[in-house]
Amino acid sequence: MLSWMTFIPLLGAAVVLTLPRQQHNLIRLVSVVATAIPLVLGVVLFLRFDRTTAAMQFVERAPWIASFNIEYYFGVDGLSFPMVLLTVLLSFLCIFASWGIEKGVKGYFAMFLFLESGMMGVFCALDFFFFFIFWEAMLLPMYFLIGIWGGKDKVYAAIKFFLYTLFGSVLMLLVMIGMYYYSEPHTFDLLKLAELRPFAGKTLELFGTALPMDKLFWCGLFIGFAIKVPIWPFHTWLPWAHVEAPTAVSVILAGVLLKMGTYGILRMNYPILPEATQWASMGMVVLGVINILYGAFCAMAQKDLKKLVAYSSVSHMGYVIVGMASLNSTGVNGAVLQMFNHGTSTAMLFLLVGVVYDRVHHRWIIKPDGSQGFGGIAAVVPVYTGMMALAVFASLGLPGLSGFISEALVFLGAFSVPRFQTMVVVSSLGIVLGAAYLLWMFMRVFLGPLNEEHKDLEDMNWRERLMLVPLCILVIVLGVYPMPVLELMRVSVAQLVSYFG
Amino acid sequence: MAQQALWIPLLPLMAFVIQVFFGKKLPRQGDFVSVLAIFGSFLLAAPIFFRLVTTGDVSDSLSYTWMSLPVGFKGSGTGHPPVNFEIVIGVLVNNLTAIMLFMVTLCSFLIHLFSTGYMHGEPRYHLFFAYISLFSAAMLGLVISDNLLTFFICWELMGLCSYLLIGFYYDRPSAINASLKAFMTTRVGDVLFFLGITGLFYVFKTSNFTQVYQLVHNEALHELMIIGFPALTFIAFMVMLGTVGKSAQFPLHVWLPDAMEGPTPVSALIHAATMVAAGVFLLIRMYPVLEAGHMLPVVGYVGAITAFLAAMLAIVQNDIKKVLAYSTISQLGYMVMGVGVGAFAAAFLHLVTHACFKACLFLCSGSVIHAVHTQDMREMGGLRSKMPITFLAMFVSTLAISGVPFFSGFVSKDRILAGALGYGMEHSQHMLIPILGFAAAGITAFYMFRLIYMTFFGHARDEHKHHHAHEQPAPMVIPLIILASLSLAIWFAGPTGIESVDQILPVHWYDDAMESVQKSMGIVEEHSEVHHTAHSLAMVFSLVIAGLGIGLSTLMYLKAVFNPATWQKMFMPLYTVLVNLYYFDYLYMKILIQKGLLNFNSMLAAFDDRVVDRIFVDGWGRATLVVRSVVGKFDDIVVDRLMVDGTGYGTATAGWLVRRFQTGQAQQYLALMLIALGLFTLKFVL
Repeated sequence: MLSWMTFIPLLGAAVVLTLPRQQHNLIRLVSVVATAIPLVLGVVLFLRFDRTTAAMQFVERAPWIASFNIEYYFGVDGLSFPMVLLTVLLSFLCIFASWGIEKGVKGYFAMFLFLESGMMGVFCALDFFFFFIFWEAMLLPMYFLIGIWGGKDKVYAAIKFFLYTLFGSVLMLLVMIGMYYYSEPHTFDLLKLAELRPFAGKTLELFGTALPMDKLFWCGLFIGFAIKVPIWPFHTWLPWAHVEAPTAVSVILAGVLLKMGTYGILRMNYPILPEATQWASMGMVVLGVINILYGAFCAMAQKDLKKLVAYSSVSHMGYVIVGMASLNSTGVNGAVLQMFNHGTSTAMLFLLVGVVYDRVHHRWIIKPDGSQGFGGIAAVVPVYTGMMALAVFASLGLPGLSGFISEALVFLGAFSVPRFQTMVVVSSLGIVLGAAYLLWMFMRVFLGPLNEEHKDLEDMNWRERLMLVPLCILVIVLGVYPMPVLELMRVSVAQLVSYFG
Repeated sequence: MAQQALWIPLLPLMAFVIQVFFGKKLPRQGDFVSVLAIFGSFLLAAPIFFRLVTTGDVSDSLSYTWMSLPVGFKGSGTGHPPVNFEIVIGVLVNNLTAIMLFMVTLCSFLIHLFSTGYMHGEPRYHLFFAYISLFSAAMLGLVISDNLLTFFICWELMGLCSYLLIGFYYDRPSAINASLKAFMTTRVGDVLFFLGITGLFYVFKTSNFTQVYQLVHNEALHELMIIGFPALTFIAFMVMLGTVGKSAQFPLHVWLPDAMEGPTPVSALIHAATMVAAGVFLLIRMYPVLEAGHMLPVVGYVGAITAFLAAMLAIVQNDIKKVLAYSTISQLGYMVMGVGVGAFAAAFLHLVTHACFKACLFLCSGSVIHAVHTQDMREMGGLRSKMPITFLAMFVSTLAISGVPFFSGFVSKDRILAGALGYGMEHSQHMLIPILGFAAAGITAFYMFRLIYMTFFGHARDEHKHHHAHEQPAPMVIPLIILASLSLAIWFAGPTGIESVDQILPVHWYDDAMESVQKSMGIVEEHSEVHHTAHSLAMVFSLVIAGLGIGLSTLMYLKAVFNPATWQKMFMPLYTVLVNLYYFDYLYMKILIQKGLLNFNSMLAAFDDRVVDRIFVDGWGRATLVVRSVVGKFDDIVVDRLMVDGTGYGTATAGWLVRRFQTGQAQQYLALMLIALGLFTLKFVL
């Protein structure tokens, strides 16, 4: 099942490539089908998912490169399954957000489907080598999607994204090889590694100094993943990539790709290197708090809507880091839930920014010449305003909407660790700032006297409404009753935190 | 009963959903949906309240598990049953709840009714009703919450409604600025309050009120510390700051006067009768924690200072709604002070009486504004004859707020002042609290009568506006009459001394209700000799002081014996400070936000862009370029030219050399061989 979910989009990409270049609607239709099937399968798995076990489910396993003990190994547990759901849902919705792409339609959709396969593979793979292949494979379509279909500085942004992530990958590759060689028997199997935990207490000679192996591995992996999250100071590729990428790609970037970083940490650093994780937890909290505040301060200064949303992602991912670092059930559940909730709320924000960008071809809150980019458009586009308001309030953590629950759990979790309490108090400033930059943006764009330039702005059409309604529903339902998602993850999380006693 | 109470917030919530999606298409834009929903809530709340009045005690609860997270396993390994951390939410109906439910649904219903007239013909009429329905739902949800988490959720939802309603006229820059300011200022308090809740979970592992009341006396928990403070003190302080934000206490009071940008019924509902009262309700619910955290004196000072400073500000306002706004802040200060000095029952009583008379005052001011189309009292005057019912209702509630005997405000305020005085007499270092309280009482009487005189008495200062003024239609007038009648002392005063009356009316209902609530919360109210003396003293003081205030006001604004303008000149420095609102807004907006925050943001963003990104990240790229060119040169010159090509040259040279010898002539080869042979021989010989 997981294989089908992973490879059907790839198959779709292949089909798209064989279609004639001019058949835009046919290409789109194939893309819809190729993303709809994984979505339907995802729903089926959601219904069949066993919520009482922390073990891997829907496992598919076969030897692949036997001489190196590399396996074709798929499976999901409570940590990865919410991310799988997020991936199939957002990919499906993003096909509709890509409807307006007119340039190189065939290439675009083929790349997009290829990307979905890569993301699915990352969340499902349980063999480090296999994981790494998907991790790298995903970079390629992303590079082209930004570099070809992006905005003004697309090439710069794409290269920056690519090189930066590649740098992280190199570290990860080194750790991967290291783990293989220093495990006995040599294996890439993540579950096996987590079971053996063979690296604690060993040392590794590097440049003539003996370094503790587990901490070294931990740092290598962490930096690799931190770039993806992105954790300060490795975050600067993100505003560029987000701003230059087309709407759908921004949604995928913020909605799914960022979570791969935190997912990777939870999947590898935590179970395989628990002692090092405990050693590093204070550092993680500090970095998380920096992310929260730094992202929020920067967001407040932005004049470009998309850049504001991009920095808000930096800020919101900070909560994930803080929750993870608390190493207890409440905090880690909050973190994983925040990964999911941030995926939906930020996707809404990016989709909505895309909607207005499609119409007026700019997204300045304040134009470079100092004049207001928008202003008062609530009067002409009420539905759009309503949805934006929902997205904004979900994003700033209004109780009753999804963001609040995850942030609250993160706070409860981190606060129960006495040495983190000061940091939690400091990070609470981020909640105030979050409300400030989002509502300030909302005020300057939607409220006030109507800017005459936009008096003919059209409200959202049916395609746009349909692509946002599922997210609206999720944001509200999970804000009122978060158990459907918490149920998926809580047993796996409990098992994960049991490593930290 | 708890089941029934659960429906009280759900009805308006459903009205909200209907109004948002279908309101526009319904006849009358669906205002009746909201009105009926809140009336339904009132009908559900009334029996609970009457049960309280007749039996003296109600209590019921209901709970659901909202979230349950396994935190570990009994024994080791995943095979064992999990140990769960559960977040349980539910409904708590006790005497406090019953009184609040009745008061909130009644005020809310009357304000809904009033709005059907006041908002008639406004754009987005259906949304207005959607928002006030959601607001009522949130307030009622807060009242029935049995734990701080859902309490906080409703608390924040009210913040949202407040934001939406203050900025209801969203094309006016002043309105949207006010809404943002209100949301952000209260948010500061809210976030601190939330930290208090996380602290509560850290200490008690629950936020259920009933459980907290029991656990708070557990000495072991008093040892816990949070960031260097005793945990309970930390929690109590944070909870108090939540109240400071929501109930507009100094120094976070700045949002409430600006919030008057919203339509007047909103001011009545949110910024007088209910939402701001939620902050005080929080203090009352959390009283045992405040006590255990030794936070009560601080609460007392916050309240007393607010009561006094806000009352001073009300004197210099000319906008009728602004006067009422500052008076709200001041009255809330009274309630907070009441909690702080331990006059628990008095503070709660003032919450209830204030809700009724302040709602009435705001609705009356709305009625006046609707009639004369201005909010500036200098353009009013002489409206008494034009709007007799409005005048009468407003006059009655003014008597109540000024603390005139036989009106509700007298009963509750007198009790608070008595409590404060008793507290001051017992702890003489805290004597400032009752002094500020009494001063504020005098000032309140002064500025409220100033409002009445400027609006309704004297001659019409704007003939044109006066000419068009008229009394309002029934849906707007009836709520005024009902609310004004609730400003009479008879409902709250206790035994009147007249036997025939005392037998008919359940005069003891309030004291009975409070007694059992305090018992269940573990509160012991002081009934010492000092308090007894203080009570008699306070009654005399407050009568004299209210009389002074009213008298001075009458001399200045009705009889014109004193000229306000000369007094203004006499106290010029003070007047300047008051008109500038103690420079709080200046400090926050100009210095903290514009000079501080926004500049800091731009600097940080520039740092991020130019330093982190351009130098740190692209620096690597540039360094790579440099390395590349160096390595490139090295590669070109050393490796390629010298080594690779060098090897080539070497080979070529060798080849050239070798070629010299390869002439193809046999004699030459032979000669060379001979030479070589000769050399070898020579070597061996030597």
